Amino acid sequence: MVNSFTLALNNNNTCVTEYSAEQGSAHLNNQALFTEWMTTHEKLLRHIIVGFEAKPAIQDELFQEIALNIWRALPSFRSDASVKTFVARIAHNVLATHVAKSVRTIKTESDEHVQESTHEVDRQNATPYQALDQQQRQRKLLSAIRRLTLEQQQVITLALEGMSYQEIADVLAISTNLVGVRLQRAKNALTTLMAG
Amino acid sequence: MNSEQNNQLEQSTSPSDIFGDDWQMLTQDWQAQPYKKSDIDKLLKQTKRRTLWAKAILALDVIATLFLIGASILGLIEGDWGTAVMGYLIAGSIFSVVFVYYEFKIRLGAWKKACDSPERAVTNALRGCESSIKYIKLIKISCWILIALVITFGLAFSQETGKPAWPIILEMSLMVLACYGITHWFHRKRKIEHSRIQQMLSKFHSET
Repeated sequence: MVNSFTLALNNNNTCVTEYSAEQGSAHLNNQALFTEWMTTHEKLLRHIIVGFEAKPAIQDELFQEIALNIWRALPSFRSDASVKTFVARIAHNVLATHVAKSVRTIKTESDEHVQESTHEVDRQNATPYQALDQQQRQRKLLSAIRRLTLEQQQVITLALEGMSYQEIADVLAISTNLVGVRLQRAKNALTTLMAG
Repeated sequence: MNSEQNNQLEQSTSPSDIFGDDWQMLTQDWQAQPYKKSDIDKLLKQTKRRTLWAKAILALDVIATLFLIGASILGLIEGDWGTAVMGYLIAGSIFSVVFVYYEFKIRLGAWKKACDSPERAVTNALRGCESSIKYIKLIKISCWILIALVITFGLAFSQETGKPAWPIILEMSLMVLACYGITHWFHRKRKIEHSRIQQMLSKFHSET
């Protein structure tokens, strides 16, 4: 049986891999494909994971779990789908299951209580968020995202990765309208949490 | 949400359209986050090994079941293996078939869910938990049946060989009870998990 398909990686990864193989060599091709996908989307996966889980050890476990699920789902990948959407969907599936199965581990680390007064920033023209330096802003953002509800976490992490409404809708298998509604709610909740 | 807001959302094509000035900075900060680089070749080996182990365990269970069925048939053909051994082999074969059937059902179900919608992940987790609880109950019932079988086997063995029955009954019953204890621990764990997921799901439904 000839297993042939074309992979079109999305805008950031404009390479197109023509792929045609006999079933006997399909396993080897899957290995190459897996390596390529994981290398290309490692950053996306790691970022999504930290938005859901604070503990580094569990983050690593989740990364491996996602990798395992990608490996298993690889033969079912359809040529018309985007690799980024496919990978993100599997990651969100694993993460939603993880959140559902565990008590939400919200870290109340000392680094999350940012000492804003130590920074020499001109705050007259800046919003409170802009007034913080990048590292602090990243911590504050992560801390706030981890306090959102599951569906808010899902849309916000994908939106922050630069995905369009359509891509987010494809990953979560919901309508673009619902993506908009959830993003609006997530944004409001995020603003409240970051201001607090 | 009113119709005007809905229209605005429908016309938007990217998240930045509905967010304020901070959105650009938020995305920049998010995407500039440092992340742990993985050894992808090592990850591939680990992933393959995990898949192989899962398949090997399934294969091992199938082989053991086939072996038990084969031994039972051989015992029936030869006809002089004794009541105790035959009882053990036939009961073992039946339990093994049931066990492998559920094992396949659970494993394959879990593997298929990898590409399912994350929207259904919470519901799937709840169903998975329910299925796991049913499976645990099945093992618990099996343990009681096994105890009865152990006693029957011990008594039959004692009658056939003239040796005392209690050491073998005690030894095997302790093993089954240990198995029951471990299963009970998992049962409690899954019940807590189930109530947590249900809480989450009801919260999720109330918000949407």
